[in-house]
Amino acid sequence: MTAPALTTLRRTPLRRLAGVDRLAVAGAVLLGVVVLAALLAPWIAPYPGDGGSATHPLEALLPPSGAHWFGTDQVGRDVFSRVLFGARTSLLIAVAVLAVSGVAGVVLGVVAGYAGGWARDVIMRVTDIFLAFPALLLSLALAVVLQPSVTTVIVAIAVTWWPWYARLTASVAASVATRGFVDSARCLGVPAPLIVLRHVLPNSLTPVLVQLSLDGGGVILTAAALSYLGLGAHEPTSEWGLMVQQGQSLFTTDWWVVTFPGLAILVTAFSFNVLGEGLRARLSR
Amino acid sequence: MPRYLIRRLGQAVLVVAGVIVLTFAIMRLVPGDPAVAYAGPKATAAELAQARQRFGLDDPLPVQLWNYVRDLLGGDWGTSLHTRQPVRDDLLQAFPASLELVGAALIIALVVGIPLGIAAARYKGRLPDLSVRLSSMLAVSVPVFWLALALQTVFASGLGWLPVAGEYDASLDRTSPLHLFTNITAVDALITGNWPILTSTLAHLVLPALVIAAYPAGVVAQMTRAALIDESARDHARLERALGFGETAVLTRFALRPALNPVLSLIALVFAYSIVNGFLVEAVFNWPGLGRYAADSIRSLDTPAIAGVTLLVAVLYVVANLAVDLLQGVVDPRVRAR
Amino acid sequence: MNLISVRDLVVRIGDRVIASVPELDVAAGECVALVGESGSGKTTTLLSTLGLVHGADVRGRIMVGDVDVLTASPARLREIRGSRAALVMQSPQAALNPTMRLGTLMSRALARHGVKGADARERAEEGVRAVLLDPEILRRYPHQVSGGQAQRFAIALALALGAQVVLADEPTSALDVTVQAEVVAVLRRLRDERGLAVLLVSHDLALVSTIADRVVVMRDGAVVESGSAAEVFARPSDPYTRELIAAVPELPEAVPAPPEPADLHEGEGP
Repeated sequence: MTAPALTTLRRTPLRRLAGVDRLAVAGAVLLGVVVLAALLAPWIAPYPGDGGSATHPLEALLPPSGAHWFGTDQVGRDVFSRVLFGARTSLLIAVAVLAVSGVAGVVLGVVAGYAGGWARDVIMRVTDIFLAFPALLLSLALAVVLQPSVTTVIVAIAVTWWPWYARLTASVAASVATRGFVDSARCLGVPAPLIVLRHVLPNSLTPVLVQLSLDGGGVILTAAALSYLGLGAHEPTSEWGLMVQQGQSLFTTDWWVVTFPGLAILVTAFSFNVLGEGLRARLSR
Repeated sequence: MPRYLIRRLGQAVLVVAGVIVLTFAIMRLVPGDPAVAYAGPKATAAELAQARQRFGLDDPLPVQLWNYVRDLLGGDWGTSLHTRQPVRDDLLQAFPASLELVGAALIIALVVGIPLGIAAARYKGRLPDLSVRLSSMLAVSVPVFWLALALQTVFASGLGWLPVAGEYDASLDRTSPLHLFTNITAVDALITGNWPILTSTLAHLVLPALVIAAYPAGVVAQMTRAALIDESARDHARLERALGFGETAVLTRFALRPALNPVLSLIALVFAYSIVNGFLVEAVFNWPGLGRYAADSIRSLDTPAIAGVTLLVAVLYVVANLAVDLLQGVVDPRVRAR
Repeated sequence: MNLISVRDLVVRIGDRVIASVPELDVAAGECVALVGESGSGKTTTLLSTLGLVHGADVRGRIMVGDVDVLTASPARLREIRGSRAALVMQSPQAALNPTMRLGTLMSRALARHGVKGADARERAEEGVRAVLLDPEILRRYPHQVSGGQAQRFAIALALALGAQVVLADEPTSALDVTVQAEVVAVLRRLRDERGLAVLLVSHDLALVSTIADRVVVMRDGAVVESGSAAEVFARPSDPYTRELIAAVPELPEAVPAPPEPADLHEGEGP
């Protein structure tokens, strides 16, 4: 196999990703806003102290106004500030889950796909078992037996999420492994780990990256659900699911306490989905 | 086909076995002593020892696993800590209500999602397509518990158009008692001609079913669209056009059937996902299904009950997947020939 | 009168001309072959006669009978597709909807053109028999018939719909040599006995020499040579045509006999 063929194979998928898809751009911009809000929360929040345990009993449950854009909650904290700080919690969880499960899944998937044989069989059967649980279900079961916390949420979701990447990577890696340039590398005596690192891994990565961005929304929703059920973040952390849970009995009277955190979850999950969908459309073209 | 079937069945059995082991492992992760949880914090040492013996907690882990599997197969799914009833009975009682709710949701999802997917594929790249794609992405991005609260607040508590919670108006049990056959209220009411309970159940179903339907409807619309676009670019679609059929006819009368194949195989996944989404929705609408049972169990850290629900849903998922594989033979004659 | 008459056809995608045909006529009982390598624009020319070229700018004048394809309404265009000129595609099984029995496709197509009930059944069976297939084949799915059967069924569709021209796009290139001969024999017989016209697209000069009355040679979207088949094969004027002809090992002289009817056992599916 000649050198030019090898480099084109290795470069095209990522270069195609860089091409512009309007949907992907819209998703990226929306997500960028959320990320900025999370990063800058301590500086742009009108009442930074309200992201934590501050209480202002005299200002409890004020409707949205110029002073409090999203109103105030049961203990008088500014809901807008808490929504901004909540972005930190949600994105932290999403990034941590995707990083942990992505790395674990890709490593196992590449091993399974490249090595084949019994290693592949064992890894794929274990993957099947984990995939038999809907993500929220297994995270729920895990979160119940662990102590409720943000770390618990990350661990519980990551445990249910890696098999998807393992399966995806395995199938891509298996097809990459049969391509000519890998064969020729093997014939030239290049050691297996080097082949995997140089050829199999880079070629398997693009679909996983697209899947990761598609899954960000799912992770955000699952994390919010766990917190809503009281299995995740707890007071005084700003977390959107938790805010909905704490305010749910007030929905009829003080709608803003629940509406804005819920909208924040919706917008964040939506931006991930739009971005992922745009990338996927781009890639499959 | 038989050999293919046997292989699929073997795979399913293997996965169920793995699911049991994994559930067992999770439940043994529990910090603290299950015996304490059962006997209560004020139990005496003797009571604790009795509880430990009863649950076999002194045995080595493999023995415990073996006993667990043996009990499961023998129909003993443990005793719920919060209802103090056999978990199996609780599940059997709660499952039909969940099936009713998720069934209704999936019907809504298919009825809404497939036509939207067709419309998007028909007007690909134009306004109808963009709006279907965006709205289906919204539908899969909405947090269900929040949507449940919002719809309940607006349409039930606020406008009073629909009932707030429950499966049907409980006072009807006195005026027109329901005879149970399938334990699925709507079905039983229909076959026994119990109209008051049927209409009440349907009214109670609308909001929770709509909330649960959001996710599958979005997925079905996207999948239908993608599969139709794929199918209408194939050679057979060109021949159909050359036979005088217009775009709409090619999509609905020819491309739809092969395109439904991937949509159908998605339904199994979506079914299990929807049952779990029901966990969040049933609690809000006080729907007497698995979800409310699970939510109650979570609140009281009732591990045997949670293990039971987890196991049931995972097994359901495996079975649903199998069923879909078989169904695919009906839709696609090529699979039958395999 | 010409069944198909093309004048000054130019098909562009962006600035690139993908097919340019100054003149192309197909009369009843005549087989005209468009010859050239892939990318020469022959399939585009074929599809443009049915108005089936999408995403390209099509100019000129294309008449199918008395219908001007480029100015006709979409509804009128759909009416003539299949009923006047019918397509036979390259890959026989992929061209048939996998979820549909052949008979279902046939009856839907007939109903589309206003033929229903007993009349439709009769036309379907008559069409299938005319290509030497057993009407039993109508009960089968595409994966249950051989490539040759599928291809003959496509011709039967055209006959049942009353098409006077068959537009055949590489109809034999996906088939074995013996099966190719069958399909060609069927086309020849229908041309001779019924006056069916054939517009054939092919890169296979050996095939073309066995059936074509006239030949149009295309290269890079342009016509380089055209004339009667005998003339073009005997005295090619264009160097490209000479090259094409030289590449054929030997042009067969004998034509295989048409297959016997009811030869369904020949292929029980893939």
